[in-house]
Amino acid sequence: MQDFLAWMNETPWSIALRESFFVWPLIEATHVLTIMLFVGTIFMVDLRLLGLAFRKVAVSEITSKILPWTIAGFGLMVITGLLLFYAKPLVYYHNLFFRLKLLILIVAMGNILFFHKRVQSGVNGWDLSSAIPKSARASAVISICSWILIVVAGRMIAYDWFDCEKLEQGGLLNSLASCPNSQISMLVTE
Amino acid sequence: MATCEYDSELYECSFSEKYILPACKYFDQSAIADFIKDSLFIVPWAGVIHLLSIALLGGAILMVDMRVLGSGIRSQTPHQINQVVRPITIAALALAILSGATMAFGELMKLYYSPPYWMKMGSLAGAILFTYGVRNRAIKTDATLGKMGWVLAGISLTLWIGTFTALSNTMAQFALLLLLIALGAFAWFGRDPINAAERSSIRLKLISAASIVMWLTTAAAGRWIAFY
Repeated sequence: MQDFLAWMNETPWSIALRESFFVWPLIEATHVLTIMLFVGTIFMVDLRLLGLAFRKVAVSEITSKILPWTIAGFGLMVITGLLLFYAKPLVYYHNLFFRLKLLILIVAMGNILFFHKRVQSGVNGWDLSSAIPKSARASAVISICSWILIVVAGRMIAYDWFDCEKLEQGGLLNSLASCPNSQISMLVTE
Repeated sequence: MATCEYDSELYECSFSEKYILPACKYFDQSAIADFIKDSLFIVPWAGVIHLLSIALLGGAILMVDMRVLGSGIRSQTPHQINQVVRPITIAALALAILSGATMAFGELMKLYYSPPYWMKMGSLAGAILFTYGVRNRAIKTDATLGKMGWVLAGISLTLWIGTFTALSNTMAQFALLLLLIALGAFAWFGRDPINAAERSSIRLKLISAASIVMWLTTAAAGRWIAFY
């Protein structure tokens, strides 16, 4: 993996992207701003599932009308996120917050699958009811918590508190970040 | 223009140099600014709260504007949806302003000299005026604004156009222009509810499209502060 990412890091497009004066900020800004479309709409759906907002709106309506926008936002986030990773693969690969973000993303994805397979399939029974099943409410709580944590981890990627050169060689955090030896570490820092 | 003094000599200076710069310098040396600058965690966590409140604000605003544009919840009128999200938008906006002010206290002098920061402030003022003075009124009255509504629309749109033209980045201008065209097309051709009574007028649709673009401009200018 390390070799592959080191190769990717040196490809002309990767270098051009991270050194670009306009394109990199534009992609990064799009990635961050899509939060309004993606996380914002998912919060609205979750608030409905928790019975805290849109109580007069059927759950099936809110999921059918709003979730397509959430998915569009997610698609844009993934595309811009992949481009950001492509521009600085080694930096992100060894960033502990980035790794944490990916882990929570897996939990969030699992929760979405659970919601669609288990919760949404039985929605007809409680579509407009104020008594929302525990599984649906649990799914909404997990969703809100996981997206908040993803935003937290994503924001913290910008800080260098746990960068490889600051971590003790052979320590736990050093291992968790798969920190390379000192020579490659210099490359990552660059 | 105003008159400033340096080394007992008077010279012509701008309004901001006369009044805003001294205020920034004063607050930059205050105990609260020192406390924020000395802390390792306040600014990062304020940044997180800022992002989350922007997400909440964006989601709540989109719920209303997408309904107006014909692609949101159709069982409720735009006004009914707006009443549900109104407390959310107010709380999110308050949180965004509070966290934004906290971050600003950590780098007041940098922000004073940052054009994107002033663009953001201008755009934010425009977006708040437009949302609460124009859009909400238009949603309630199906786009009947009244004199005050038109005045506020004029002020807020002027603020937005000022921000847009001041954007030094051509690509950002191009991206916003594309979004504006896309939303205009969406307002014009957007899928509407089958029931004609539920359909919003084209004027209301354009107001909602403008609301989305104004908030996005504010957020984009805010992000640009980091790159300037």
